Amino acid sequence: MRAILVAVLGLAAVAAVAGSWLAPYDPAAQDLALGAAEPSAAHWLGTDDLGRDVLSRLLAGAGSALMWPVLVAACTTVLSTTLGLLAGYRLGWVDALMMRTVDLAIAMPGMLVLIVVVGVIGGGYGWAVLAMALLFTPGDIRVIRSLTLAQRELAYAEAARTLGLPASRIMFRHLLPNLAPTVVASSLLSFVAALVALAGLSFLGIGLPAGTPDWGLMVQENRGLLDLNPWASIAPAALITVVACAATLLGDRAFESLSKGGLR
Amino acid sequence: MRISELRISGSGLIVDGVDLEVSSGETVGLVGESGSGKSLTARAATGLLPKGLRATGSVTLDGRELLGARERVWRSVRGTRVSLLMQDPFAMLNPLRTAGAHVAESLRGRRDRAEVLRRLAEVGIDDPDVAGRHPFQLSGGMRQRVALAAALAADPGLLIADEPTTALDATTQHEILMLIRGLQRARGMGVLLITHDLRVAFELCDRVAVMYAGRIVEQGPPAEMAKAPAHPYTAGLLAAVPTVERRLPRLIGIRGSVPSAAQVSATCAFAARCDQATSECAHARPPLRELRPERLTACLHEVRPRTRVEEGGQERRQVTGDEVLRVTGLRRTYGSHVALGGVSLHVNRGESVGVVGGSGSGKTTLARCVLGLVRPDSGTIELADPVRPRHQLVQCVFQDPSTSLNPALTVGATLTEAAAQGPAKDRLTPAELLELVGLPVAYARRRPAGLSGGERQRVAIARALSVRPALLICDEPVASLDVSVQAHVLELLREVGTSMLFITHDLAVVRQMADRLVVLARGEVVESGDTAEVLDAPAHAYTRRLVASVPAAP
Repeated sequence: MRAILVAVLGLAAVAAVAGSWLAPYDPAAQDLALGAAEPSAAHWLGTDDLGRDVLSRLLAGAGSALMWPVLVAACTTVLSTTLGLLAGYRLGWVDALMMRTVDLAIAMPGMLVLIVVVGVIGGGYGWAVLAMALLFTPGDIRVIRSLTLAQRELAYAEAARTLGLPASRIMFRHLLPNLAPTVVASSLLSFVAALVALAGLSFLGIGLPAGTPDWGLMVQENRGLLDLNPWASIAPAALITVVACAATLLGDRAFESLSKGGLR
Repeated sequence: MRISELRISGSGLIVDGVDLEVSSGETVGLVGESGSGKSLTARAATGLLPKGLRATGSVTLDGRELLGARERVWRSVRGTRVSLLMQDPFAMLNPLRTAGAHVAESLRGRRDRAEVLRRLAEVGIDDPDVAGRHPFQLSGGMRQRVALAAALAADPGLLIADEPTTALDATTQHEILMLIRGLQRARGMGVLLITHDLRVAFELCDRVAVMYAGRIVEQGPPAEMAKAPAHPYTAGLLAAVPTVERRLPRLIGIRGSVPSAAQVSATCAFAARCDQATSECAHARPPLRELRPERLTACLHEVRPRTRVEEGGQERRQVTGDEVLRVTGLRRTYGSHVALGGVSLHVNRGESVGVVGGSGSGKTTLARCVLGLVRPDSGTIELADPVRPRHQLVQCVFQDPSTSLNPALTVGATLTEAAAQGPAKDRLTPAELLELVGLPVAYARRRPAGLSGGERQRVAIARALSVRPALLICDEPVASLDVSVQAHVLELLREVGTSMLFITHDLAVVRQMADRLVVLARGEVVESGDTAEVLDAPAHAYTRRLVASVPAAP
């Protein structure tokens, strides 16, 4: 099972890195005479209404569909782990200030804020990604903080304090490795959430300019072709689903094996 | 109840052929160290084995086979015929229900308040208000009494008590044991007492079975077993039990650690750790043979009597005049609870001072204040040297070996890091530290998960010593360890010979470890003085209660 999950995500990663190079056709090359056609030997997943090869567009779009969520997950994980550890270990006013801010942030309707931000700033996709990372962070801060609270009371953490080790060393060398199962699992979940949310934004037509090869955008642009070439919209939707499921399941498994092995 | 040929296996063999019989009107003790399979035997006897474990053999109650019976059959047996009393009274009671509701739930027939109060009175709770209280409003001893009343509410013929007093204070422990004995006699029921503590089993039981690596190695009446153990393992355990009566010049444990039942299924379970083992012992599994009626052993040989090291007089250690710790008027309150109500004490260089007291006496808070983990409300703490940082002057060995080492770091990394906090001159290397606590140098590469409890505690001691502190605080360092390992760790702490503040609830342990003794009760020092004098002739009523509650040494 685990091998399958890793294989799925590995293939997705290969597509994301080398997709444009692997694509059999130029993803932007149009064949208006052909139009939307069903799968054939020449076009394995058929073509869209402008006669562009669906498979090539999927491969070329893997980059933007996967890289941005990875970036969101990375930012969220680094931010939430650092701030959560800080709040949970320092306590006092640092904790109070941070947690009230988190409460406020969680009270905001996230997706709506995102749509407004992207709408106001326009096509700057990077901004959408940054906003999304900031939106995901507060929830994870809470999780990391509560785990830190539990760990700091354990004898090994007290022993580290008794040895007079600096706080940063206790936080990052002693506490952090014991939070690793949760950190890994929650970063994979952030990836999934970002993948789905960004695809959703593309589907709503917000974010990437029309015509860019991107999975979310393809679902939206080709949904009118369900009778001519259903694969043009089903394939990208299916890819999003498969990658999201694989990442979620892998997160679960990673959590279990990390909390069992070595650490306890 | 009769248990025969009981085998329990999960991923490996855990219990390997246990035969045991409990009749009504008799108390049988099942004694073993952690991992011996005693608790699983009890669980199998009540049909409560954890998921994934399988039991074969036979468990019969009044001639009726129960092993493999349907859950419906078990339900008709549990509570009414066989009851289980467990270790942790807080986890056993539902925090949302009152004490009375717990008892009423299991009553058959009359369920009125008068009957509930009568049942609570039977376990020594005379105050009728207790019936209306919730578990968190009760002390540990009271909770265990309520749990006992609930377990007995349906008048079972057999009570299985799994470590019923391990989580309790010494004084409470004694009361609960006496209560169980009284109830057993009054009701004429059978009791199967499961415990790791030989002293407890010997005090209470008519017959004791010693379990080791999944099988019973010796069985017999406690008086005989104490006088002349017929199995080297029992002999070793008896020698390892510390006594409150005198200070032993040497504490003797059993070398090595408990193997799993699967490793020794074809040999004598104890052969690898036995001083008397011969080649026969490793060839075949010795049967449980009968020496006399009621007296069984699984050893092929006559057990050589252990030479108890004779008292070599109290070797006084070099105590110089200068102090490494002086605490004056230390106070600390948590809300309305007074943890420390003005405690004063001092420790001289080279001296070992014991701090004893029940739970809630403030002894751990005292340690945490000295370590700087808790800020006292008032009072002063002076250490050996006002200039050097606190962490180079005082270090601590914590109680729980399962959490005292960082599971993510190797032993070597832990020790290197700790040593780097000490003075720069003559820094100790991990290899030197491991050697100091009697562990192989190769352990530096291991993680805590690969060590046994006793080994982890040794590493924790090495870590504390790595900065060459002037004072070592030991907060219940052996409370979570098996008896055979306890002795090794205590002996190690003696050899180390730093000044020590030794915190414990166990008077027998403190007798072995401390030169001077401070008795704490409710955050106040009630008595202090030379260990031998205080324990032999306690002056304060609380100390007398503590001393009286220690089970007699076998």
